[in-house]
Amino acid sequence: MENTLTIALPKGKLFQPSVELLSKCGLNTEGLSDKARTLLFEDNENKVRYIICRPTDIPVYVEHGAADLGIVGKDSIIEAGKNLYELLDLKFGQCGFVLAAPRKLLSPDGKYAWKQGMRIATKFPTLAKDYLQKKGLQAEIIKLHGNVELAPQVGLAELIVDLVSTGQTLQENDLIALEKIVQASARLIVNRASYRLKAEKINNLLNLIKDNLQNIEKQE
Amino acid sequence: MCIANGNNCTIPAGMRDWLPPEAGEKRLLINTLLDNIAQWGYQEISSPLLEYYQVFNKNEAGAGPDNLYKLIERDGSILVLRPEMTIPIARIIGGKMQGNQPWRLMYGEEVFRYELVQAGRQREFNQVGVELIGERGPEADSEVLALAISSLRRIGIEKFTISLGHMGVLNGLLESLSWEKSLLDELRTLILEKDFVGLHQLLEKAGLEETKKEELLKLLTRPLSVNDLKSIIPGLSGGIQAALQEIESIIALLDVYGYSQYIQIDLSTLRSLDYYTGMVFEIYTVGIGYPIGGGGRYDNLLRQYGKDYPATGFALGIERILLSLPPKLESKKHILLVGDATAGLAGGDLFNKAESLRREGKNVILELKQMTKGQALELAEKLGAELLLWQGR
Repeated sequence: MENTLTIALPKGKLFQPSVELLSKCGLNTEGLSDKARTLLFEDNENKVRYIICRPTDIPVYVEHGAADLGIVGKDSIIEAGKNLYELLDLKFGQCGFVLAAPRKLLSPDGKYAWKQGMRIATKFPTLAKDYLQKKGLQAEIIKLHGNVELAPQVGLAELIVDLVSTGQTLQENDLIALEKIVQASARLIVNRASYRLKAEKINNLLNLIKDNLQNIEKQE
Repeated sequence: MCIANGNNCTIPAGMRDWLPPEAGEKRLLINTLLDNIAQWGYQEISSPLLEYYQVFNKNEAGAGPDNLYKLIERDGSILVLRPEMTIPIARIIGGKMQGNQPWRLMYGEEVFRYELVQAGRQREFNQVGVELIGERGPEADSEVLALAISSLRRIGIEKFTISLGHMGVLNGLLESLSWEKSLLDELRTLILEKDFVGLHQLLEKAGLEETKKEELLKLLTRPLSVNDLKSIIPGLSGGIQAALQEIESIIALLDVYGYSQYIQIDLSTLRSLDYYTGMVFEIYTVGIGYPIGGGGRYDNLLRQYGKDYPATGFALGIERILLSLPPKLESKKHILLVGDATAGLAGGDLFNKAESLRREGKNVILELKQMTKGQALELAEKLGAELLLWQGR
């Protein structure tokens, strides 16, 4: 594995843009798919190996060095709180964390009255906790694994903290974003040891990716 | 008998039992490292597992490290399991060390840190390390680095990289920016965590002028060669310049040892412990995602414990090194001697035989029981030992 770069790619909506970016950098991404049963792909010519896994697991693979590099959303990095290096903002996969409340709980002028003992449902308890601490607010955090928008409707929580890209889910569930907590996008992350031991290979790829991102920016 | 659903058979999270042969391999590794370090003129020092909380909480207003195991003494004072060895040694030097500096000290001890379990880290681990106390300058720093390199080579690790940085670079940078403290703290954290994206964003937000921003990112976000250093030194401000020149001299000295090829200059190398003042380094090896060791110079720490001595040192993580060692060759086979001492056979002779073999360095199991040859062979098989002698009927 000493001369091979292992890159972890996330299943789901970041997968396609990640593959496109890598293929623009001259890597052979043929046959890469997040739908197939195969989760390991080898590109012997470029000495690159791909691992395809769940976005939330990517920081784990990279922190332990099972993958040298990974592409993953900032949201997963924050939530994992792992010890790894964040090299580059890849700009795609833009979305934001928001604190949202049901419309019916807002005052007529759109204000929300913060009360003690609030409950917040979220898939991102670490991020929600940090946010509350920064704001000096108190609330109980209820961790869910999906469809957080359901929680306020059935009385599980008063508020939610969730990831929003288009805002459609909020709208359909009559939820109003009260505050944007942080903006997230896809990031290139690297293992601490690989960053040193495979410095040359990683820097070459890093420069290729940077050039490509700049080209895209110019075109826009 | 083990009761499955109580705490009778389990151990606390982050702890581990060491079974044979791993326990022996760990001991051998620690001893080999200490043997090598002793040959450089270092003497072993040891301190208690438990210390007063205040010893680790000398920082001004701060709450002290939050990853400590704390206990309450019967008199109500707070005790901690030591999270590292440098501070206990500083305490010893300040209070009771006899003789004169410089001291060359080494240790091989277990330390405890309350890490999050999901981080996959052990909470009890072993460290072998050195502290060179009372010597200033690149000579002492390069000695410590060379000793770390020589120790790793002694135990058969050849492929590793030491990334070398200097606290003076970061401090110089922070000084040159006339920012408010919260922003400086944020910058420090971003560099420590190597969050280059966040670093970009922060510099952008702080409205730093373009040339200054470029210069900062160039310094921090990529590894440098000695030649790079030479070319950038003249353009930098005093504190940073001095730090880089120190790195240059350390590497020049390591050339004398023939070890400079292991060094990679990386100015974003920072240690999470905040007592470092000069050069700092981390050691990385193939196949392990974390550093296997690290260290640096800490010239202001001992002052807090009563003696104002400069000092430099390193610690190696034994568990991580065990993971990166090549698989062991077959371990030394035991020798089995079997004879029935009570049946008037020559038990004394057997014991003498065993002792003489042991003096030769062999590991000998002496079984003074009556057995048939077949039983003895069976026993040898079970023990994985070689049956050398059987006396019986």
